[in-house]
Amino acid sequence: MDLIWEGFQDAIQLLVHFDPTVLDAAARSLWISTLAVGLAALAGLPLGTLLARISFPARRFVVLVCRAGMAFPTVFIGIVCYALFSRRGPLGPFELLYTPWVIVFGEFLLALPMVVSISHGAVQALDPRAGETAWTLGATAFRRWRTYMSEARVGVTLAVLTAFSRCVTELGIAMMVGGNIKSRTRTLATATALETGKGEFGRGMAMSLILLAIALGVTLVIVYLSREERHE
Amino acid sequence: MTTVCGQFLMTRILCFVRQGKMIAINDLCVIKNGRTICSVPELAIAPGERVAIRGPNGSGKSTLLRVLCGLEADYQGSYAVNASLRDRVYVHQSPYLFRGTVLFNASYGLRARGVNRTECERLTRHWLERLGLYSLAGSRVTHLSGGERRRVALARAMILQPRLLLLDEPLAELDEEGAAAASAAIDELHGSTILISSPTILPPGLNSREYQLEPSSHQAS
Repeated sequence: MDLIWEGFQDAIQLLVHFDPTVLDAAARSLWISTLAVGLAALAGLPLGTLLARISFPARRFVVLVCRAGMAFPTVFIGIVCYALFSRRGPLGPFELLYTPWVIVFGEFLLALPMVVSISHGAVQALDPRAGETAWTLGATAFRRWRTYMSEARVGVTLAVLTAFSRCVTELGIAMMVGGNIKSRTRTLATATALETGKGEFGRGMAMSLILLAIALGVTLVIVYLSREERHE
Repeated sequence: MTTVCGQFLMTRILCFVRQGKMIAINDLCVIKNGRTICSVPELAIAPGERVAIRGPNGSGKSTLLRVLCGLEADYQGSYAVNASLRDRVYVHQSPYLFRGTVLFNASYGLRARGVNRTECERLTRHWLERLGLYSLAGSRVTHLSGGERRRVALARAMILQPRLLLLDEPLAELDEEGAAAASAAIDELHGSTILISSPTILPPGLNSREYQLEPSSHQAS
């Protein structure tokens, strides 16, 4: 119990004094996850809408694959990225392994099925008259998509926030393809694992507290949005 | 043989449309789950006509309007409309309003058509005033009553002044004042052909003629 209490006190000290190593890892975690989820949203939201609105032979299979993709272990995605970007892999010549960009790619793969599946569910649950009304009023395909996003905005926001929450706290991808290199690829999750392993319990605790705060903040926004939707 | 007959009918209908008809229907039939839900043997409507589509519940009034505006693709027989899909506007029996304000909803179609902002504001103001909704322009649609929601949907469709306007029971839920405002607004659409479905007799002056749909509950052969 003393270990936890002392670790907690050390963590507060580090956070209050804006410890540069803690802030460096936090900033990197945030920009990598934001970029990965942003790209996943750009690709995933139109894809989720297409799957909900356009009928084609393999649609059910694609939806099933996306749903299965939500449960992919991060170490599995990590190993796939490693195979792609390692020296002998098909993307090896780009020499991106152990750079933040390959973590962005891995987290994009982690976030994409989540964004597609949740936004697909949200758009599919919309009243069919929403699409019909937009269509009969002369909306183009792009305007109809914007209308779907606006009508299902709570579901769409939930999709993006859930994906962000998963990406910012993931360890497997960042550890396997990032390599946990100081000032280059170290994220909050990898730094927490490293510092705790080194016996720097307070530092590890400080980083995990930031992760916890981010996850809690996102959860609170999700709860708030869900309540708002129930009230409407 | 069937294809030859179909082509012959289609050619006849297209000739009919070219002769100045807005709508020409020949043996139109919609079958769902083995049940005929709409059957129209023949109907021709001239441009600018206002036709009431009458019939009891389940006679296929909504289905007919949905086929004519292009929302229902699963039908037999043939029909032709002398207006592009963008020139046909359908208002649901129970209209759907988008999240946002009355103003946002009313101007949706104009923005979709790329109408410039000044013109958009002028037209929106005019039609909202016409339907007694101008004071509610900034209100969110979630705060509106059933009758107000219906009038917003009517304004949103009428503002476009389409060549073919298909109104599915537009006066339902409207009080006397609302029905009068809606009727007056419909009266203002001189260039539009208007089809109004209704299970009851419409107020005098709203339609120039009636087309009676028979209940079509028999099993399709």
